[in-house]
Amino acid sequence: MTAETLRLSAARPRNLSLGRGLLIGLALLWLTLIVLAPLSVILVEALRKGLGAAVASLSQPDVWAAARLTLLTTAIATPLNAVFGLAAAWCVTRFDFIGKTLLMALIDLPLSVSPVISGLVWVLLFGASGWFAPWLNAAGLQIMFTPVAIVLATILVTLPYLARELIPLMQQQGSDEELAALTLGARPSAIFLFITLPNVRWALLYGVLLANARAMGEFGAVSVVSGHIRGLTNTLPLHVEILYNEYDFVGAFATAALLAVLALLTLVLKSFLEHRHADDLAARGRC
Amino acid sequence: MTLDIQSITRAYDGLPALDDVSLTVRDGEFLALLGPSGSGKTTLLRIMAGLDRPSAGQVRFNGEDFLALNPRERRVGMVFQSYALFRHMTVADNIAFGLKVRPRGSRPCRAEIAERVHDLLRLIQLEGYGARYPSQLSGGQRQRVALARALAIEPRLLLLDEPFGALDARVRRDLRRWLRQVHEQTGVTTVLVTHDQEEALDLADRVAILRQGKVEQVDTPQALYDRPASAFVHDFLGEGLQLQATVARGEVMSSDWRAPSDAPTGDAFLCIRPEDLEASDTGLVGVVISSLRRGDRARVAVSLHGRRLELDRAIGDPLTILAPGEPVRLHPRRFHVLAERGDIQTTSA
Repeated sequence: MTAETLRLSAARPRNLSLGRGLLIGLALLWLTLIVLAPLSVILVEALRKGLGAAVASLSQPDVWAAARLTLLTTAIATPLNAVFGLAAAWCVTRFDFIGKTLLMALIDLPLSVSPVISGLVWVLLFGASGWFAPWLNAAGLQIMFTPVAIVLATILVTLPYLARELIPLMQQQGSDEELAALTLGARPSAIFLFITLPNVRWALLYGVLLANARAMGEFGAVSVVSGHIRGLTNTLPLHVEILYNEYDFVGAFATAALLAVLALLTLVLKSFLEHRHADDLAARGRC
Repeated sequence: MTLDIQSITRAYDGLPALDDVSLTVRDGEFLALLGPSGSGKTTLLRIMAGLDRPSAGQVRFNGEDFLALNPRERRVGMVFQSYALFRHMTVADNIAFGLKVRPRGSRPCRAEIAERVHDLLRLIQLEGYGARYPSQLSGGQRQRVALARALAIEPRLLLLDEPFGALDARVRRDLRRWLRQVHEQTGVTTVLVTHDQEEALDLADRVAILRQGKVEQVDTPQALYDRPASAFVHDFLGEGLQLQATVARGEVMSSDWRAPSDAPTGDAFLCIRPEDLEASDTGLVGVVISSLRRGDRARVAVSLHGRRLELDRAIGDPLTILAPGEPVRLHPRRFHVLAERGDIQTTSA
């Protein structure tokens, strides 16, 4: 806020600032009700029978297996999405081709369809009576109800996040810097490493974190393809549901708290980057 | 080191941006491509740089087939209207970029690069700015850095795409003078794209005037002024009148005025510069609209055959005595009878 706007807001009549206070209060109340209260319920419920019980239920091997699978899935899906997102954003912002609009619509598709559908498509492809079933059976391969299916479903659901983050920025930056580098004698690999990548680095990191958070928390698509085999194909969100259905509330909420902590870590990192990213854009956006 | 462009054609979606263009850029010369927007001048420049490819035609540089080389191999320095500085690099790193990305064998050592950057910073009068980022510079400074970056690779050809387009009038004038100096110091063959006729005439040794994808005329600024090839060139190069006229039996005729002319019979344009008009008993009939004194000169606005023309005259000239509303007859000491476009038809007077 500049000094000018500060002076303006100070000069505002009293009833206006009263209205502002009311609105802020309302927003805070709403957030408390919708976001903060449920989050604290998780913690409270997890600790209902004491810290010992919560820690004990977290040290179950099944929980560890679920946490491992969740992190593994994220660790595979996110880099793949980063590579694809960068390639897609590059294609869309640097070239004109037939079917460009269709490609952009396809990138957005996973955002607009229900995750359950994003899971079902894999069943239709690789399931017992899916399109590729004869071929898979002949080769003795199993994809459904294995971590492979979970990774595929997660990739599909988180596919748009990076491209959505990169496309507007790359569109705004244009290709003049890359062309300048080309005329200065840079090879394509050098242009990518020294010009393209540094110019989008903050947006890329930001997109990676968004996709990461989504990948860890994905339930619907993963639920369809997982098969819910404990210790093998259960991710953290799926394990929370199983424990809850078995009336193991402490276990369910403790596991949920673990998942929430992972998500919060991502969120903290994201806010930090958002801050840096904004500074970066403000400082260098003019050229 | 001449650049030879032969019968270049470039079409976008069936619409010709360049239509059978041939042009030669001589060794060490400063050539301006001048034309209204959409005349194809930027397309021609991008073809020289290798950022665009012609649909037909040839580009040769010292006899070498330039089209067979990709932009990276051409060693052509390019300066963009948008500056296109690398925003995450310092000024020094920007200038050094073209040297640092050279393959290991031909890459100068660190000290040589630093020295070259230092020399270039001095050339662009930005010594001490090496550690700054482009966002910390003014528009004029950024464009100078862009020029230094292009010069760092010792280009065989320097291409400038509306380099001053985004700057205000005063900075433009200063940079123009400075750019001409740099050209004289470095001697690099230079091609400038601009839509500003003053810029082109001020800077260039020769000016190529483009119109709708064709070269209308290529010549020195003085020759363009003395012998415009068409009414379009006459109109584009500065203030003047282009009156509809007919040529018959060795005379050119525009309403009530006639003069001998050897132009071919038919419709033509009678083209006159304001500085060639003088008050006289015979001549084109006009009316004084306004007369403004400024110091020892006066600006007299005259309506001639329905066109308004501003005449800048010294106080004491017969025109400056006339009051608004008074009739006047103006005799063209020099005029051109020209077709709307095409080859030179005739120059009279």
